[in-house]
Amino acid sequence: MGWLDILNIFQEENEMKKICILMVLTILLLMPLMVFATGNTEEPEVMGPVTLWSEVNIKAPQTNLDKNFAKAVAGIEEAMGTELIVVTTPYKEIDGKVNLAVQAGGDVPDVAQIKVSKLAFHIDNGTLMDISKYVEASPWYAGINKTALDAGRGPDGKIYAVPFNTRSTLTYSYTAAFPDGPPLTTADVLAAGPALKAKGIFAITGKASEAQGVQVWWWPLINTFGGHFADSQGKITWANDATVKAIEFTQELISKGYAPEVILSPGFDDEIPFMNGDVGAFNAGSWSYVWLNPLKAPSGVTYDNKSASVEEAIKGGDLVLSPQISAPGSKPVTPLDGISWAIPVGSKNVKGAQAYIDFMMQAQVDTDVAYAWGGVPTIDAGKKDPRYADSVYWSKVVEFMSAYAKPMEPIVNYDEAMLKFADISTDLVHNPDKDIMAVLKQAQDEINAR
Amino acid sequence: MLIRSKAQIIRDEFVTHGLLIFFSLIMVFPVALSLMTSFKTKTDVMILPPRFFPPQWTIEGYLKVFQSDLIPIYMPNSAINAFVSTIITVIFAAFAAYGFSRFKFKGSRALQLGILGLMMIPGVTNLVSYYRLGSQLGILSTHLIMVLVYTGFELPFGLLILKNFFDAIPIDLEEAAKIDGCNSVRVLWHVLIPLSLPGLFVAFLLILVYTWNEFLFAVTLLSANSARTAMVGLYDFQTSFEVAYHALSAASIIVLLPILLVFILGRKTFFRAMMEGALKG
Amino acid sequence: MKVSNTFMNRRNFFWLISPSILFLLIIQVYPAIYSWYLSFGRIKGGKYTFAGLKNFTRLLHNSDFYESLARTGIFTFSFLIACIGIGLILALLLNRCTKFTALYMTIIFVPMVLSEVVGGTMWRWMFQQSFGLVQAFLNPFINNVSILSRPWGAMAVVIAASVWKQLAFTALLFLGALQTVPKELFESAALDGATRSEMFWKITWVIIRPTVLLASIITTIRGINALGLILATTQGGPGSSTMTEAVFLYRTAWQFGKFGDAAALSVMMFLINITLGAVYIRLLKES
Repeated sequence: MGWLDILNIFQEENEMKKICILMVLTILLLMPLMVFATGNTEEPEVMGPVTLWSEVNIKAPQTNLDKNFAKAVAGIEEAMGTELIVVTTPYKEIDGKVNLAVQAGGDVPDVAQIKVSKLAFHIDNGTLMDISKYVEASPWYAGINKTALDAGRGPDGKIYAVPFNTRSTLTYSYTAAFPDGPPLTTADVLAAGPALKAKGIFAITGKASEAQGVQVWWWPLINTFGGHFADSQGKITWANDATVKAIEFTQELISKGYAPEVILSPGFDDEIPFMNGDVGAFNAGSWSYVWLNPLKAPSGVTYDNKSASVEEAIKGGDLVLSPQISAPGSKPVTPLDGISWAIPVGSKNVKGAQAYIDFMMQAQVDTDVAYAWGGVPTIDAGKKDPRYADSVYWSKVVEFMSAYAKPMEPIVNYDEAMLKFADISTDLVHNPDKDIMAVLKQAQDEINAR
Repeated sequence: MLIRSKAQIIRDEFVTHGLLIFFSLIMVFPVALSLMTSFKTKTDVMILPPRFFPPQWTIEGYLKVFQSDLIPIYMPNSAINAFVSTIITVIFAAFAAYGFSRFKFKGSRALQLGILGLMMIPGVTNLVSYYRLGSQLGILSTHLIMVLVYTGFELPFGLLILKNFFDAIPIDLEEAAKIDGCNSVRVLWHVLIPLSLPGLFVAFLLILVYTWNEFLFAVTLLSANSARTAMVGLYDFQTSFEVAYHALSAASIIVLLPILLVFILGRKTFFRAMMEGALKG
Repeated sequence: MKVSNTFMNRRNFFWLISPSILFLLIIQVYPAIYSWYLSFGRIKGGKYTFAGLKNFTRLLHNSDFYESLARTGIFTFSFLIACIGIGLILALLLNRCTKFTALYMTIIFVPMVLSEVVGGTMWRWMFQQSFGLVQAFLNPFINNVSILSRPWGAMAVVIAASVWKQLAFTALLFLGALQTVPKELFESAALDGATRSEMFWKITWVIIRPTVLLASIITTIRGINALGLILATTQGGPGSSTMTEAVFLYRTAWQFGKFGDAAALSVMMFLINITLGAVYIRLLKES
């Protein structure tokens, strides 16, 4: 080590010198790393690039969603006159990231893909811009479905997001299991239970666990039994008889073996018994068709054509669509969910974001994108598109959605409330000897006190 | 009764190896399952009753992965973030650990405990600060911020491990060297570093595993497609719509390989170091 | 002032630790202080409003806080016992081995090299109600009850997965310690007529105790802060049954978006961690 010998000349000092040199070297090493900087910090002079946070990946399209979206936005950069940067973000993390970005006062995307069911989260935390004025003055305002647009409003009535597709729930049932027609009420399901059980088939399945279960299973049931989840102020009111009846119904389903245990499991395993023909009816979302393949009807026929399986099963007479299961004597109710475009607070390119939304809300584009995401377009004209009008599946979905779907009421501390209810509902179904009303009341008081 | 009959010895060997094989199988089973899944077709993943071996061997999962950006972009990003931050962490932690090991002063214990205490702060809490800092410095979505965060985060752990290793190296060598008139730098280079190399490697490997596999900071602080790391990139195969299990498994296996390789190459050093009684507390 | 007979003196020490201290100040201490500041207020739309101790009172009235504390206790305790216990058994087995030791150790180490996200997903698939292999295997014995849909089941799976991942670390530490036990001690004890278990407790245990202490501390810290694996496996469990403090913190910050509350929670968690740590160390040092 020749060069070290040279340093021999100095005594104690080299220790420090060597360390100093190392530190400086490290910092110098870090400098080139800054070259890799790809943060979007350009300030738009006229209208700079528009940054979108979405789950799609148009750079290296993997799934059908990616490919369809890429096709739909093919002409957008020309139309906007500027670049569109799509940052692919895991769909579970988008909301957290947007919220973090806004609260930290840091880099925020210009426009983001936000699920309608998460809007309460964003509005509660003040992360989205009020775009009411822009929306009402936009070229597409006249053509958008007003109920769908309501889903993008906050409790103050202002518009915070523009839903571009809507989804709701409905019931799929096998004709082989329900030869006299699909079950329409909870009573129908219970009545059909014993006969199906004798055949070794469950009566119904669906997701009744976690926050999504609250949305697709509990909320409709509670509403049709005559109760409300929350009041107009957003305070929880789930401690009522309707909820008790909903829980008792579910308890009965499980205890008598009319529904598989898996409806209370985390994840989406509730679909699988239906796919395999072990269940007669499925409390489904309008998006469920994507997952239900291959579809094995109890009649013995198997439909295996990816997302078209459900369509084919309907055409083949094995599958029937009916509205969301409701309480006897009550009109069905289903929650209106969907996906929307929103502009976060702190967006540096609001004009660009608006140009993006204007492009995406053109009738044809909205239809393409809504279809890509497995939902119904919010621009009413889109419903006449052959993909929807000529499809036995979609025409029914649209029919039920228009008749029965409405957005959930605004709930303060939405996510906490949903999780809490998911907890207690699962617990109550598993433990039938607990006092239902007492548990509901305690949870309700606790959430309302926060 | 240390003297065992031949029969007893054979029986003991049998039991020992039997149990070890049992444990090994359990440890490796989930990975093996993932490996098998990666060779299944999309629908075969979910057939009932579930099968371990693919009914039909296929590489379509791997083909999907090759078509994505995982290998050209995400993995190199992970590699840069992981290796650079690990190297810097090990160097800084080694200096500090050496210092703490050799220099005893009044508040030493307290300071060490304080630094260790930082390990008890969960990462989630610091997200807001990091995002803010990154945003203000304009370094979000760069390698720089990931390296900074990972280094700061892993320093206490590195310190803990390396101090243990340094404590185990007898101080006599350094004392002798000084008496011999050796210059401090030479001592460092010729004596200390060779002795501590195994320990440095242990710290290096453990910290590398953490930084390579880290997800939360990577998904939060990186918002550009070109900066994405491998762990976040796994989500390319999961949309709210469909989960391509076979491709996801294939990607998981591929992401696992580099670290596994580093480990296998260095396993002798690693095991020897961990077992040379150096980490004894 | 004592003259050092090595090269270590005040000045050198300062230079040695300064890069680390600098990093720690920026990356850990500053955010911790900022977190402290956040815990006293609410942050909405990027604007901070002071709220005094409101977050803390709200937290202390929140049943989830206490429940997740209990769950953290259960999880960490089981995790610790399993990692130490099984790790010790593994180490003892490996110690008696003459061949294939390196092969076994390599295989046992593989789970540690995996990421938590990947590992957790693997365990979730194994226990998937419908196409999970382990679930299917166990079905005949447990009457088709889906393990992951039960609170106790989910907790068991999460503990098992965490132990699975961490086992190699403790096993290796103990193996190293075991190999420092001189064989002659056993021989002379045998001559004195000691039984196998006496030999273990009076010789082996005494020698490896410091390592067990170190392993326990690291494992406990890991257990309390375990997050990624739990999220990937159960996301907090059916409902909240596997929601430990760490998961609760993640949920508050990420799923509820309430950074002020999350900061308050992390302050509480930190205090609890520190207290536990201090008690732990004192107890073990004394024994």
